[in-house]
Amino acid sequence: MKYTIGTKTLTINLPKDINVTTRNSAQGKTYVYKLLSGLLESNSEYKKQVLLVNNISSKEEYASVLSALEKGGYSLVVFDRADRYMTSELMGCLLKIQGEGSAVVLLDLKNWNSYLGLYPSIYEIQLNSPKEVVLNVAYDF
Amino acid sequence: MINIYLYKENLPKNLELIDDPEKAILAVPMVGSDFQKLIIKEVEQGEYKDDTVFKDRFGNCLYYSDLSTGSKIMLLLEAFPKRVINCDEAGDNAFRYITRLRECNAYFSVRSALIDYESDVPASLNGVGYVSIGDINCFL
Repeated sequence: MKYTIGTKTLTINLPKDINVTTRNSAQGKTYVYKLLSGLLESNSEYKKQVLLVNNISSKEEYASVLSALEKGGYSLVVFDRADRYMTSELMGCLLKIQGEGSAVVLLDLKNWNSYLGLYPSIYEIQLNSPKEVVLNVAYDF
Repeated sequence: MINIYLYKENLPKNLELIDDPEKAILAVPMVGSDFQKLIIKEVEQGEYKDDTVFKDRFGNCLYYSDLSTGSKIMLLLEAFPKRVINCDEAGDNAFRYITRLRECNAYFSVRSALIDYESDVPASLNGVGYVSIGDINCFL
């Protein structure tokens, strides 16, 4: 998938699997999230297909996200700061929609193994420049 | 002393918890301490400029609110040694600089933390004292 807005280009090369990114800080994860947000704000067609979540701080917000996921219709789901609010229930829902064909990107989940009992493979976001971000991610058990 | 707390039930009741580093960073005075400069340089690959902005790895000046969450956590650990900081979102490359601090309180709610580094500063895990942070490895 390739998105362009102004002088910025975001290329997302990923299989339709749940993806886990590096355990390190300052890798560009939130930058990717902000870039996606900016891209989607200007493109109503993409906006309908993508769900972006950068925090869940209340039970109401959690219920709302869960409801949106269960309703479905997203080709791409991106969660930032997933460590703060991820639960087994939410992870189960993500696995389900991933199985149905959605791409799920967890931009900050260092405790993957807490939810699935599996230690994640570590992948990187390549922040080549402020104008180009390439997501090369894969998930491998 | 470097105090590590794992899981909510082990949090000390007499210390205030800073649970969201993204919100709390605004309270950190960016005075250009050695530790602040170290974190910005080593974790962000940037450069401290003044009390409002830093230079990122591409040469752009950004506000400190644009730092990575891991960097914010480390700055909070230094700035508020008497409070407990939620370190769940601190990456390994940032958290290892805890060895440069003499006093702080770090909390992990879920984390499978691996602390494979040493410091000469005494440490504790859930209130139990150890000679140094490296000794805690055995019990994580």
